[in-house]
Amino acid sequence: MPDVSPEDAPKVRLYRAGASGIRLTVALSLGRAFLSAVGAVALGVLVDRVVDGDSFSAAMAVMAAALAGRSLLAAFGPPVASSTANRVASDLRIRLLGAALRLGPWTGRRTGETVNKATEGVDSVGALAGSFLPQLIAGMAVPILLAAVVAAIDWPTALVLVVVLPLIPMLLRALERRFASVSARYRATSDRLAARFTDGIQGLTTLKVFDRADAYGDSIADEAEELRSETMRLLRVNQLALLAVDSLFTIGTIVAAATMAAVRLSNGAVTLGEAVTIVVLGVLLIEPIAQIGRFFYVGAIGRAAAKQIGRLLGSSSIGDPSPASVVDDDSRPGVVALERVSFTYPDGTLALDDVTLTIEPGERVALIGPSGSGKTTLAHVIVGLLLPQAGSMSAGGPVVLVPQRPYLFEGTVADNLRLADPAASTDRMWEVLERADLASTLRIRPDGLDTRVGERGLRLSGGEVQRLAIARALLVDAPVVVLDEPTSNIDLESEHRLRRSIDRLTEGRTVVTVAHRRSTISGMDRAIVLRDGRVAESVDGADALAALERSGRR
Amino acid sequence: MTRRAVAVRLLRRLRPLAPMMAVSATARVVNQGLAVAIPAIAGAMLAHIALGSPIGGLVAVLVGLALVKGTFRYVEQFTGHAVAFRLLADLRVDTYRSIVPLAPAGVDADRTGDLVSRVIGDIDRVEPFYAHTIAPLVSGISVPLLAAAGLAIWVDPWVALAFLPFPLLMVAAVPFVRAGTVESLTSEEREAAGTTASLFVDSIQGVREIEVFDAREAVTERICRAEDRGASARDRLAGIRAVRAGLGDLLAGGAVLAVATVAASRVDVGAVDAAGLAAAVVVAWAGTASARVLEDIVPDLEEALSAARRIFELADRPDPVPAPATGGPVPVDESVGLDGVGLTFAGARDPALRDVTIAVPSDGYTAIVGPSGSGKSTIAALVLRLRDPSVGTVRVGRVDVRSIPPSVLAAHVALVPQRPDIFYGTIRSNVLLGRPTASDDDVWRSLERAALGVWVRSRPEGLDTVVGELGETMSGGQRQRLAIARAFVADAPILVLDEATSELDPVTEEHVLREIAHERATRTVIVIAHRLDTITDADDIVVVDAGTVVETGRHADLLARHGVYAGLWRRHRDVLADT
Repeated sequence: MPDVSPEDAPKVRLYRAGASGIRLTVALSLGRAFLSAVGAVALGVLVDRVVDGDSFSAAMAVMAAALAGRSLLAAFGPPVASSTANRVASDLRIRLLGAALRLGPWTGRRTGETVNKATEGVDSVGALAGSFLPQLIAGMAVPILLAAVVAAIDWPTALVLVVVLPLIPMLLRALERRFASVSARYRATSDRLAARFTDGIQGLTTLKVFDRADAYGDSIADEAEELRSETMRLLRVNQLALLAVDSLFTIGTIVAAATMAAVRLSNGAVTLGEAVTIVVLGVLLIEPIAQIGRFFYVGAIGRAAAKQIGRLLGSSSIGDPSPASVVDDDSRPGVVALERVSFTYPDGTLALDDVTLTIEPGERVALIGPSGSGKTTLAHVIVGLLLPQAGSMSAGGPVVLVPQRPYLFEGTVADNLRLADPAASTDRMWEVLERADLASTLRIRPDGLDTRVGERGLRLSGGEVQRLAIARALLVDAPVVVLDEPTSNIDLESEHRLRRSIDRLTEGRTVVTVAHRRSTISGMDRAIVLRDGRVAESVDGADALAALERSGRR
Repeated sequence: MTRRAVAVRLLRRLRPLAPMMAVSATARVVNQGLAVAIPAIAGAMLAHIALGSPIGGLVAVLVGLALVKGTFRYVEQFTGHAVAFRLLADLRVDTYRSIVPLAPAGVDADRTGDLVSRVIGDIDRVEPFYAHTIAPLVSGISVPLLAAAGLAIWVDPWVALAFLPFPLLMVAAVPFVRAGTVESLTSEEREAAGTTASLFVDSIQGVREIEVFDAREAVTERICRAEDRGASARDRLAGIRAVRAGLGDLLAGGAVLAVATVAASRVDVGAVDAAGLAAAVVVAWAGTASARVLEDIVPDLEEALSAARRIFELADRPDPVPAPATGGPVPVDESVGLDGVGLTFAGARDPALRDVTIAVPSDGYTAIVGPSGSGKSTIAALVLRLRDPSVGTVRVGRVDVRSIPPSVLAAHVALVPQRPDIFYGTIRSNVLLGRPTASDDDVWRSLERAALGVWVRSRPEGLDTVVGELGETMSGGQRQRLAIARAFVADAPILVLDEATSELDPVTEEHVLREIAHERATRTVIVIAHRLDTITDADDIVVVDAGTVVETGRHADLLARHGVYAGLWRRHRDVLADT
């Protein structure tokens, strides 16, 4: 994945995947405008010939050909717009996913939500690139083209239009800005109301328990009414801009063209047919605003989303500054060695401070210490989830992690196992499930390995989720296992089975456990007591509880 | 519910606003009509100017008409927004009201989060039906008709006849080209988009696992596959739109050619003059534009109708816990009793509760303990009548809860849930949910007792501190304490706490538990406990496992029994408190 360097972080090219599509759509618009203009010219010739009583079949043929060609170009519009939108959206989604993965395990809940929100906006940015942006560009270019055609018929008329025409993009801009400010204000207030509405539905149980559900409904109604009347007050004034723009547009295009045509006609400088052509070209001039008006909504929403995505991609592209050396030491499988390792979170919290320790192959070590002492950070560094900023670390072979709250992905049991080993055979999967004490439970379910775990593993019990995570870890032939011990959110029977499966997972491997239980700690070879990100003590498992007391529990 | 039924129901909501809607549609017709008339009049007048008429009149007329056109655009937009905003606001409030009786029992099948996002999204999708469908539909049909009428009256009926078929086909045929395919592709696209979104959320939440198992590529590929499916549906949709756009454009061109041909032949026979010819070709050129808008409306309309259908179907669900007819008995004391209660959730194979019998006397202090998922919270939900049991009876104050009016029950029992709901608003308004008539002194006192007083006092705005959307500005522990303060201020004779202090630090928890212990003297307290050491002094401990009561008794007696409770206690002692 090509990384963006911090210097060009603010310039995030959101539409890069759609650049050629945008150009093509603009070209199609220009082509259509040109063929329309040819049709208009032919129509003028036709009018003159009819009035003079001449044959008009040639003019009719040209007009027919031009208009048919225009239809063909019109048909190309939607596919090009759609593929542009798809490309931009798909590109952005992959980049956002990349950003989320790059931010990695410290993708907190908030970042996660931001990414989610941004993802929802991806399609609207796609629509922006597919339809709004090219229309906006074409809206500027088409009038110039049409003015050139007018100049070919009668240059003084073209001159007048050239003076009036710049008003079109300016008015478009003004209208857009106007619209954006109104819609931003409206969105802010309506977002607040939406939040109240969301709160109300999500908190309905509480409201009902306190018999406030009806009253809350009344208050939402009042607020909605307030928002509505406020918005209408705002619109009453704001939409006067629309009146002005609509009128001025008509005057600036059709009326101006017709007036000039009339002047030149009475001077005898143009024929009636040419005057009609000029009026029709005036009608064509007004098309961009009708088009863009239709896309305003797309534009406003897309821009808000684009801003959000740009900010997110911009911020996440700042890479890690020279991480410490982390090496795989295959010569000594199962060994974990940290040398003066320090780790600081992006918010500035120093979580590990100059930690040096060696864990021998096959050794079973408990990490203990008060909350915030750095246990979990150390475990994540050993697994390679966090890259320390200083020091060096080496691990003998792959390291596997079983977190306290394992995450299961939407899909089947097999899908979740294959995350660890995409090539795992059915037999192999049953084998690890057997060792994780989950096979018997799954065999009696009709779908077996294809049992769906449900979103976030919600269809499995707490104990089953844990054991599936252990089965997943068993699939990886890792000499080192890092375990964040679960506390107590499962029933006693499940807990018993979980213990058994943990024993099977850790058998014959190096084990690092973030320990939360006295019985676990006393069963380990060694306990490393952490305090304030430093190794306070390293003691025999049996003596560990006393050491923990000594290390000053709050 | 058929599409027609949904549309009828949506239109019925429009009835009180029909005059305003009519104004909006009419204004649009005038605006769009003038967009045709202005160039047509210009064309006709040009022919007269060629014969020597003065120019001044032409300019004055055209500028005047342009101003009228702009004014009607304003009227159309303003009234259209007025209608849409009013209807949207009403739809929201009505939907909320129709969900009130359903929560939480009636919406079990849909998880609450899904329900919320769906309802909110659907309401937004209904908007185009009112805001962008009716007026364009009216003008799309009537403007070409008016243009044809104008041609018939001022130019020539044959010319009008040559023009009319083209806009009619644009309205009646083009938007429906391969409509069936569009419908199925649209739902395919929607489904693919849903899959992509949920895969994405999955990947972000499971980023740690992805990293550990080195599965970035596999995950990215999975998302790409889902995306491709959506993209291919969109591309095929675009293909159909391409056909429609091409056809529409072809018909627009056809109108010009047909009118020019017929008008020319009428000029030949002297039925149409130069002015009529100029006006006719301009009308043909500009008069079909409003009919083309329909191509864009139909897809939105489909989406709006299916969104509306989902909303209506939700609103039509029956009330799962119907309130008794007015009157009814009132609780006679502060006792709580469950008698042979069983509950099986809809669609579940095994019952969540089986033959549960619990008796809590007035002013008693009962703890309910058990592993997670054993059914403890369901018992609380039954006492508050958030749902009804499948068998057995739940009594509050010796009266069957099914016969107690909701407001009486609410005044009698207060609940502090494990994950409290905090509402957008101030601290005060959140506490006052417990009892709207409470004074500021009462609010402060309950905040103090819930160990939140110090924090609120530290905020510059005090009680008026705004707690953000969904209480996001507060920590889990603060939210729990706010909910406890709410229950304190409610002053109900029965207090149910469902793991209400699970996110407090031990010191604060002890303070709050002391305050709750204080309540025991004057009211009935039922505590669902997550930590056993907090309830060792309960009058009665009910041990629940797998939906059924396995042991009851005092702490010491239960320990002596060496059963489930003793096992839980052993585990509890094994877990370090602060790691």
